[in-house]
Amino acid sequence: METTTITIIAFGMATRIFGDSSISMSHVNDTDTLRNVLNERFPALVEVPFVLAVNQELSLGNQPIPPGAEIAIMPPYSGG
Amino acid sequence: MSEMKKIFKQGPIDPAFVGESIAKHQSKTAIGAHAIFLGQVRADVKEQGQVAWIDYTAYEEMAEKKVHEIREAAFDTWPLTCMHIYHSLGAVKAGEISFFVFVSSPHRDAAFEALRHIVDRIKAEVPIWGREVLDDGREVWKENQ
Repeated sequence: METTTITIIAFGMATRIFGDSSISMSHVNDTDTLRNVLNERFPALVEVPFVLAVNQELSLGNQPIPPGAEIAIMPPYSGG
Repeated sequence: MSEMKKIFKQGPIDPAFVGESIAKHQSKTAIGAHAIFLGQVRADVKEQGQVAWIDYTAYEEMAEKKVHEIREAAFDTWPLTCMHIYHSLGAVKAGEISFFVFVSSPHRDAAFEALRHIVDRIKAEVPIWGREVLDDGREVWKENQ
């Protein structure tokens, strides 16, 4: 059986930890679980405030993650 | 009005482009008021040094969707004739323009109000990031107030 994956892309100061390219990881069911997995794999992330977007939709609170989703790690915006 | 417009430009926004944009509206004679916001990169002095330039990146697809939403909401709220929004990507030096919002309406009240609202919403809601590069080459990630 093929493992389903999700794609993680990082922006702003989170690129210091993840770099500029996307990473692929095993599917997890929701954003709370993902945050735990990320914190474990990338301890430096604790110092970066961020919100998650699931398939370009801002995720507030715990949100389900569909298989194959694109998840963005988004620190505070600074456009303008 | 529902088509998605390109907002990103590589590098700084040329003041000549702002002038050309204004000139293009001379045929739209229902307009009585233009309101324009230009965001310029500030040479902020930080503890670590002075800002020389900002390197802008964005989650482009999401940003374009978000700007589209903001644009449609503004058209629904104020009697606007047209609206143009541009933001830089990549390097923009201190003193150069990185953000250009141009709103036109028959009367000034709508233009002023809509402009303020659109600029504030873009800064708060659109996924764009600025990496401030200091004169000694070190960097600081900018954060909107």
